[in-house]
Amino acid sequence: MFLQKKTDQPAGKTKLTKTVNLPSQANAARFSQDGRFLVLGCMDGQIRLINDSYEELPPIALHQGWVQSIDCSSKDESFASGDSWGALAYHKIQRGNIQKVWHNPKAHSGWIKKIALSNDSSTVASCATDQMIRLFSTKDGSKIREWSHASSQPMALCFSPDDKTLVVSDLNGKLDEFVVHSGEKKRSFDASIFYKLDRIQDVGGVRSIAFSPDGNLMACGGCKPSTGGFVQGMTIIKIFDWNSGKELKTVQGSSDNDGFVHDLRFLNNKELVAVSSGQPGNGKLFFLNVEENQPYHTVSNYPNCHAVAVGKDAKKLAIVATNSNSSGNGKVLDKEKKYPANFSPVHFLELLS
Amino acid sequence: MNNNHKCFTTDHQLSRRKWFKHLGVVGAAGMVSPAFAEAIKKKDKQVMFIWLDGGISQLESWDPKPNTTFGGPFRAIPTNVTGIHVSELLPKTAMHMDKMAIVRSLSTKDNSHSAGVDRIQRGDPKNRGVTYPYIGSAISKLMGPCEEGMPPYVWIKPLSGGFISKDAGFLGPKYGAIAFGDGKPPDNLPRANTVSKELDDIRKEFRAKLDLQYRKGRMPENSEAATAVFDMADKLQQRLDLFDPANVSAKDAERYGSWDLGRHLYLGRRMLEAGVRFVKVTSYGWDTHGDNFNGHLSLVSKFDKSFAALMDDLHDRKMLDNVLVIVLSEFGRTPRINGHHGRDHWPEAWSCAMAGCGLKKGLVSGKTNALGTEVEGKSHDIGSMFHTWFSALGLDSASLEYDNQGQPLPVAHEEEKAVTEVLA
Amino acid sequence: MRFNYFYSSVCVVFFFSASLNAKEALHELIDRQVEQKAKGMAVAAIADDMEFLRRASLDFLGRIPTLQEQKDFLADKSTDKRKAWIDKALASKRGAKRLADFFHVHFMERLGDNPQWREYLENSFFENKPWNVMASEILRGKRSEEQKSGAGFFISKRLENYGQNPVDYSGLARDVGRLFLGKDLRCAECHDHLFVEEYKQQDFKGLFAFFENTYLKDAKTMLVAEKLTSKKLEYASVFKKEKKETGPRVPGLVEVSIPDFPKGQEYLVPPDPKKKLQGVPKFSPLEELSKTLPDSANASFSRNMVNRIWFFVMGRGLVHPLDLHHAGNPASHPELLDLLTREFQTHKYDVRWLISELAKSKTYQRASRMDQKLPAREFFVYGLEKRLSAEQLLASILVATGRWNKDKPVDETPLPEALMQKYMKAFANAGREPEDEIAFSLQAALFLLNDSTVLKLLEADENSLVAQLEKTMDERKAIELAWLSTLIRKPSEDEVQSALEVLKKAKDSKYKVLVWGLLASSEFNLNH
Repeated sequence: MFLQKKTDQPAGKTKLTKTVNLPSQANAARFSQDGRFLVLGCMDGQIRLINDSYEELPPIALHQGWVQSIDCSSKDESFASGDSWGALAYHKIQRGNIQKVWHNPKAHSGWIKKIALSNDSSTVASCATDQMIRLFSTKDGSKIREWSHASSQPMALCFSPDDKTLVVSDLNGKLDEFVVHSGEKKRSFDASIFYKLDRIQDVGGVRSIAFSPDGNLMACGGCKPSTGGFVQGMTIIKIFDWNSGKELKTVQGSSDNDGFVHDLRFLNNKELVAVSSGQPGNGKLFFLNVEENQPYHTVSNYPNCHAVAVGKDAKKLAIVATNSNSSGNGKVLDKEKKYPANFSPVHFLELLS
Repeated sequence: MNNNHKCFTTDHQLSRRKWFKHLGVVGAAGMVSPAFAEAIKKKDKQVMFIWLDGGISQLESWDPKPNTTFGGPFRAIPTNVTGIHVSELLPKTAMHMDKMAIVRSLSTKDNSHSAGVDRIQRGDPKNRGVTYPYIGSAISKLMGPCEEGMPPYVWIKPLSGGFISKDAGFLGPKYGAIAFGDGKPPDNLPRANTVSKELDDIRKEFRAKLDLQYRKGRMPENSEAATAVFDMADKLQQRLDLFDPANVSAKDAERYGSWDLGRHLYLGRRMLEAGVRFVKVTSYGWDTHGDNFNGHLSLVSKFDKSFAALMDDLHDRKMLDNVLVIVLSEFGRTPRINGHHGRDHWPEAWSCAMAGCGLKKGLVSGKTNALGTEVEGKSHDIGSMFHTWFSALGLDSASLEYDNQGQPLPVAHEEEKAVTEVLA
Repeated sequence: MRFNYFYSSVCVVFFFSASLNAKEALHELIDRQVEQKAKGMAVAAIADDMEFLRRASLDFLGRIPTLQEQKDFLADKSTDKRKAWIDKALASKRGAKRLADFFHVHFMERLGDNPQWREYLENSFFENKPWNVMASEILRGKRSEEQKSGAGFFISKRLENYGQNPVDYSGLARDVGRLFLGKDLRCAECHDHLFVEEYKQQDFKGLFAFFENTYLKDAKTMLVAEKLTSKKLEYASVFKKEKKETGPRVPGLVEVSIPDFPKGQEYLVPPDPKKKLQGVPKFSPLEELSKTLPDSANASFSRNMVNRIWFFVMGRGLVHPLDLHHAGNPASHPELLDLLTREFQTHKYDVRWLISELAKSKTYQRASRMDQKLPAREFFVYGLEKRLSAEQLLASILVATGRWNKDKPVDETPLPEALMQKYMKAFANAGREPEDEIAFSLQAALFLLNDSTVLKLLEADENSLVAQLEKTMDERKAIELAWLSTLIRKPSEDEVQSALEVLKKAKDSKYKVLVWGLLASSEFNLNH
């Protein structure tokens, strides 16, 4: 947990408006452009949507394995999704109905770790464990460009604010900036604090990247791993000045149990929101002013969050947490004497200012 | 000499082997000879025991359940045996499935490491008020050394080495493991530089002579045991080449992988060739309570490469005819994926992968249900696996007994039986 | 003295006690019983003086005898010189140290060491403190700074965390059962023992109940404290889930009743939550344990120690393994064990007396080799081989190679600490493993072969053995000196011949090679 005194009740800054329990665990969540729909990527291979009345739409059963990553267009009501079996899809929401625009089941040969839409929504970029970076047209799914990222396994990616470059982060703790039109590497940013080789396990990786709306700052999240296996690690966010490429700060948590910043989003040019997940029952929702060294607000009663989505005009949030008592050795049965699966409660929060 | 599998012994050495109560097969003394083909058939059995400490996930390896609640992100891939699939993290191993046998119906008891490691490696026979030996010590006792003078039980592991007597349980320290920490030779193995080879030979011969003299009129066990360990020291000293990284070709280093498991499996293969009866290779760090899927992506991919290289070599050298290969952990991992995307300890329904002597090839025995939450049909506790391994090595585990100071003790749990489906 | 109804052979006990009254010494009775059991068997002759002296020196002084000691002993023409030697050795400082060494290895099982503990043991054995008093002091644990004794180490060490594991209370209960009562109740922890009928779960739990509320205050000072014990320990068998309970109880004895103090009066020193002080309860289970376990009413206590002393002197327990006293594993000589137990109690747990009686027996003094086929060890008709501890081995190697300060008596040169550590690594078992069996290991062989400290002892400097051999003009005389210094006997003609051969082959390094071979031989590395 961060040194900042923690607030267990989200007083002042956030107000819980609704919790929706999904039938599955979810990996990713983004609000549609108009803020009416929350799009979730789930471990049961389904894409789920929750509308602004907190109703679940019929799930989209197109993917296999895990739906690992979701990104929503900032231009219209469309979204892209990527799964762990290498498939990409693009959908449009029209008058409350979801239409498939395209589906590429062989976009990658490995687990797609992250997808990102360009700011102009023309392109979806993806990276996967096959160590390929690929760009597809959102219009028809045609492949625009690809290059290999052989140096290390990519973990996350994000277009730069002008869409001219793409930042790819990797397992070994590096961020590389590539020119979108050529695939040529332009700059590299050191984030080796996010990586550790523990025995034979490569641990860590930069898990999330985001840009400030004005395009001046790039933030990335993950943890400073101390062990493999359990994967203990202190939550870390690094902030870079995008123009100069200079690292501005590293914000570090204080507990090994809090783990990775799986997702982070800017609320405005100065503030960002992030979620972390580590040892079962640990992990936080927290708010950081980029000029400060510690979060100004931390909420610790939504443990094991894997995604945070920011609604239109940064007025609401949705966070994807994990049910309590999610871990245990052996066959831990529930009250009905059944072996239960875990699930993700999705918490909708109103941001108060 | 590539085919230098040292499971031979010469006539004159046989008498000295009585201490081990072991009747070896007579062959050409480690040389490739015209009798080679014949000797191959009769060769002694050996074991390569690969221990993935902390617990490999059965779902990310031998028993994938893709696209199910607990299946995780990975796919299953076909192997070179029609109908058998393994996790996509094992692409190279999948191409050796035709030589392997997988038991997917393990259901053991202990879900803590401290109890699990001991219980699984000791085979959990019925409680007799004694500490049973680890499988390596058991084989060492029941089968003796494979090559005269070579230690019967070595353990190649990361970190420190030494002489691990606790493995032996009631059999006593001499059946313990010689551990090569980080693959390095034990202390004092290289001949002291102040002693020439010639003097070394003279002093050892003199020492052995004194022991022969001492034995007259006395119970021979203790001085014979002393002679045996001096012989072993001698033999190992002659095989310092095994430990020299300079002797690993660039090609082998690449094939096995530069990580410790790769280097240690390579050394393990060399140890088998040098005539070690039982080689245990341990890889630590498999206890993926957190970030299990990225963890297994890293761990299993490395295992796959190293293991496949080992299988290639054992196959090419025809060693699978006499080497039993076992891949095991103290338990599998929970189907349930916890909040840290980890999997916890799971003895309920998991797998053991095997290959080599005494086993059928290219088959899976037993199954778990669709979600992988329980064994469907007959399940097997670890005692069954001990019976299976003993049988594969030609030992009649149903009737064999240890003699613990007059107390007869079965070598494996007497209420359990071998998994006969996998036995050749 | 309370009548001992645990034994089936009560009459026999009386019979032999009666014989004792007729002034027959205990060592004579021992021989009678051993010979009776071995009736019709060939037995080894009585060992010659050198064999006796080597064995007894190793057993009771912890090292081989020096050349001078050999000469002196041979020169002594008195008929009872062996008895005199035994009494003198056992009463000496060095004798007490040897007992302390043995006791330390035997009871701490290489778990750890502590100078105050060693000092406690040495002083106790030097004063010949009765065993029941020692046991009581050890089991009481150290509860205050004023208690200067290192006796608390036995308990305090076992209350430490072991690596990352929590305190092994079960292990402590088990060790007390094993080492003080000769009963390994490990398997009775979760259910009645499946194999040993009389080991019951309630025995384990009763013993466990003495320790469940103990905790270590400070490892360094060995201070142990107790939390309040106000109710019985509840448990259930893993087989039958029915609930049971027990207060602290030594197996075979009655349960200690837990006093029912009125609320607020349970403490001598009440706890102080502000200062986070636990308080000192009036009722101390450890105190009760230290009173009831080492008592004549508790037959197992005496029997166990007698058996361990027999093992120490003779090389094998009458009950063997030492931790398994039960009806299914009877003593090789049941009447003898009963007799010794009774006599040990009658002699007020006098350890030195018991050792000396055993050592004065013919049984102890028989040769270790026989021309005839050797009977099984448990007949005790020849000198059994014994393991040398790392301590005995280092001391003996230093004596053999002449590496002690010759200006002082040999036993006043302490063993060099750095060497001791090396010898421990090479020859001692790992922690928690009893050293009650002979075990040659590869690391020991490699150590003798190549360790620089071993080879250094073979240099021809100062008064070293090799230097002396090199000064000896006659090779035959040199060979004899080498044999006497290491193996404590003269070489046979065959051995002289093979030694001459070695000298010829090894040229300039001839004596180094010769002495190395002798030091690395089984004859040197065992007591026999």
